[in-house]
Amino acid sequence: MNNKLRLQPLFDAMSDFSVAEVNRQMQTFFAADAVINMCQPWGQLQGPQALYEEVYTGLLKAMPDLERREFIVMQGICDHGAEWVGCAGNYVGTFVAPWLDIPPSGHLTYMRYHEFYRIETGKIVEVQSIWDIPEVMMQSGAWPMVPALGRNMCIPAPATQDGLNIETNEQLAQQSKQIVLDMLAALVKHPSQGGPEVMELEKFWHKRMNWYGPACVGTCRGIGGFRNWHQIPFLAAMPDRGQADDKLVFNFFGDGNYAAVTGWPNMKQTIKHDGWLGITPADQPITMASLDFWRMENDKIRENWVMFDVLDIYQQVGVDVLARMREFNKARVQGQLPYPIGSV
Amino acid sequence: MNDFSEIKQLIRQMTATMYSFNEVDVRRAMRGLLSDQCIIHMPHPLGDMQGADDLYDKCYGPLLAAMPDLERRDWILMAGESEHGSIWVGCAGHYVGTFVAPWLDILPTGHLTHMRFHEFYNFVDGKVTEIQTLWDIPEVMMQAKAWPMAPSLGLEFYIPGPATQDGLSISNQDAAQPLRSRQHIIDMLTHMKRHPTQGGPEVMAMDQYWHDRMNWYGPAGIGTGRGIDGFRNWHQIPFINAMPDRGQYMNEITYQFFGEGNYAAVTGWPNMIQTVTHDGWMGIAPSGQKITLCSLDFWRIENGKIRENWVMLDILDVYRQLGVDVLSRMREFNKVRVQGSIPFPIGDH
Repeated sequence: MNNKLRLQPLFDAMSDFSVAEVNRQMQTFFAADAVINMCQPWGQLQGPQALYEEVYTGLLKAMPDLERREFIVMQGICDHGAEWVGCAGNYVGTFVAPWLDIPPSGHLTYMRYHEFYRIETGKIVEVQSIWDIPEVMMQSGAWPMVPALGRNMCIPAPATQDGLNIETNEQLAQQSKQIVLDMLAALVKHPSQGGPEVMELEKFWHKRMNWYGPACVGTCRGIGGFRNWHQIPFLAAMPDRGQADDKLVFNFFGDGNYAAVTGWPNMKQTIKHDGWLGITPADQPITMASLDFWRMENDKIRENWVMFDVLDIYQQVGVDVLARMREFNKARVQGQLPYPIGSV
Repeated sequence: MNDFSEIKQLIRQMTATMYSFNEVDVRRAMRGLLSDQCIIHMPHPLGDMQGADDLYDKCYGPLLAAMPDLERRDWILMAGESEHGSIWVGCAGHYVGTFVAPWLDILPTGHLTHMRFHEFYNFVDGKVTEIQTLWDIPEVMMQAKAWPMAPSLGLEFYIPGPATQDGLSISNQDAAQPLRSRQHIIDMLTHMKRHPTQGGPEVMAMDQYWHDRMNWYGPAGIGTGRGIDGFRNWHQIPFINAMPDRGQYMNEITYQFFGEGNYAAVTGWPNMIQTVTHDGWMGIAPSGQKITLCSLDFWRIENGKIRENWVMLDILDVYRQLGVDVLSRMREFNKVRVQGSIPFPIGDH
């Protein structure tokens, strides 16, 4: 089983995105009835045709020089026995025409993706995919919600630059996965079983760790950064996180020094208190799909790429973020830029 | 004709000491003007207080420490009798200063910083017995790049005084003018509140009451809208979308409307009650929360139509009612910023 190698022609076609080639590769590798779980605003789609027409066509029109720039490709078999390929990277292009009503920036624009492909008998039968649409909105000056506490930036590839050629080593893969599972087992003890010390963060995390959160939360460096910009507000608002884990499906797998998780959804919690994203707390129950990658270095987590669908969370609490963005857009000149831009 | 020039003069004597702000003169003026039991309503988080020294110690002292060259710049001063028979003076303008030390944990900008005020003083027997004040604290936070909530739909800028520059010399042309100006606003609001319960935007008859180059100067967090469209797009449409029951609880609130010259004003603590039932306003997650608002407003009428409207709401108090502590969220941001004060005067001369 080498699914990474098997899917390489599909990913190659997307790295220099062209209609004909991507379509051809998608038809080849997707089961006709594949279940495609996309982030908001698309939701669930069925089959490669729908994915191409409803998702990629618009993006390609907005970014005619679209490029899928991968920085992690992992494969593994999760605890439930399913074969997964997990990819992380950035879609990059010159943003020249409105996309999802986001006005074009005219410049190179990046959008992180975390995509997980479930494979059965050589075909993609399920996709769980989150694209960081708020990151695009921010680059266009069209983010209509609270700013992030963390740092917004173009999220980098692994510091080791080895995410595209992860060493196949089953023992190492299991070890990497176990570090993450043990880390999470300790992590969810706080706050219900004690203060921050019960998480034993220093035991599992490198002191120069990087936590690359979605654009709405931002990036945090160091255990202090992770606590300040993500975890403290997150748990202050939703102290019941992790209390419903036995009812959720997690798909964990390891590959070399890396581990990953997907699940649609894989978190369930309640917005009980103030603190998170400025959301007014009113006991709203929410679900989240957190699609994450970890890189181990000397048995500690040094990098962690995290993505969840913030537009979907806002939708669950009754806020249509793209509609609010359209209110802003009324004051902006509508239309698109010629491509290529200017005489070159 | 009762023109209230005497009580306006009393306010002027106090505000003059704030123009070149120093503690001794300001305290003395405030003690002379405010009754001992004077009830003072300040915006969140300053809250309610009583008497001149309480007001000075809790509000002006810390502001002066943050802005050592503090200056109060008034651009509207008007007085009148409300429909409830009480006498009010209304002031609008900016506190301006070099912001060199943290204030309410807002970090200093080191630059000229402005904060709009709308202040209403209730007079009984020549003394101020109640004050209703809004200071635009979010405006300061935005200048300090420390606004941790959704950005405004409207334009954020340094709100101007009346285009006619006559706000400090308002006087009545005839005895009926205060009532005429007041009535224009009340009629306008009567029509406005018909929408959305009694019909679409047309029932507001906005063209009849508003100048087509109107300016609606909203609080920081909402921003300014120009023209009837600007008012609708950046303020009213989202506001009513989220809270379609605005104006439905009139018997639970008190308005203090008064007119002078071609100006009108309103205060009331609170003077609006409505329910956040839908999406649309400031990115707030709607869950049926009932809120009160204090809208402290001034209007300038030109040839029978409203040309300028200065509006203030206590946005921090709205968030407080909804369970969000905005200043606390700001303090989370502040963790990444260098703490401390800037020497004043700044740099070498």
